[in-house]
Amino acid sequence: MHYTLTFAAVAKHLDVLHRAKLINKHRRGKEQIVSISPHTLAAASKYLETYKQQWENRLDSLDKYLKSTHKNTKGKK
Amino acid sequence: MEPIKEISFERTYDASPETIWRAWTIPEMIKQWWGPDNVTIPECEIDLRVGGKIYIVMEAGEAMGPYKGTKWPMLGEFTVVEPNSKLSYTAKAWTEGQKDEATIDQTTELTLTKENGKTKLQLRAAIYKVGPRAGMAIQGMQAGFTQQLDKLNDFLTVKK
Repeated sequence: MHYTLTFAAVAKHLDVLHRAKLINKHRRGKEQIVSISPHTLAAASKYLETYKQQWENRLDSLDKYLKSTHKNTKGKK
Repeated sequence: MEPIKEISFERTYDASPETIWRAWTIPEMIKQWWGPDNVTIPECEIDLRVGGKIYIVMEAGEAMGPYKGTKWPMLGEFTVVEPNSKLSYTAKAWTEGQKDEATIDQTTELTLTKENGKTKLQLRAAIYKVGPRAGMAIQGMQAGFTQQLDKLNDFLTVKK
């Protein structure tokens, strides 16, 4: 595959991905082998899923709260 | 700045927009539902105006085991305040003592619409930045939320 980017530019991009632990790098002789790190992607996806779940639960909790205050107002009549 | 991730929710509540607005903007009311059962809200400050402050601290209770006593503050600023209809804020949430590594930058946008005597709630949560250790913080909170969800399930089952 040929890229229009310079070698230095590609290396810089890869370095960012490596720091984010999204790729693994290792040397094989003169070559630098780069492979994707599915573990990090899975962790990121799990993190976002948890964040979403947190809001789902909070909205459930709001529903429960609204129902309980509604009941209390009714009870006071 | 583009968000990393945006999540939208839509719910319909059997309550007026006014009631939901109060639940969302009065500290004494926020304290009663914002966190899961095993989490308390020791501090909550709301200055309800554009540029005003929103500050909510969650604290893990006894039942959270190893997380007990952990505090998760959220500090932000309102960007839209339209009573009973629209509320928006940008905030940072973090684990106390790890502000540098475990901060989540986010914006939250709440819209309330009257619909057939009920209220449609739309929530848009956008994440802009996640610190390297924020994942751990959110997992700790998740431990509490899961327990809360179980309780809600019990509650609904008994009702049947």
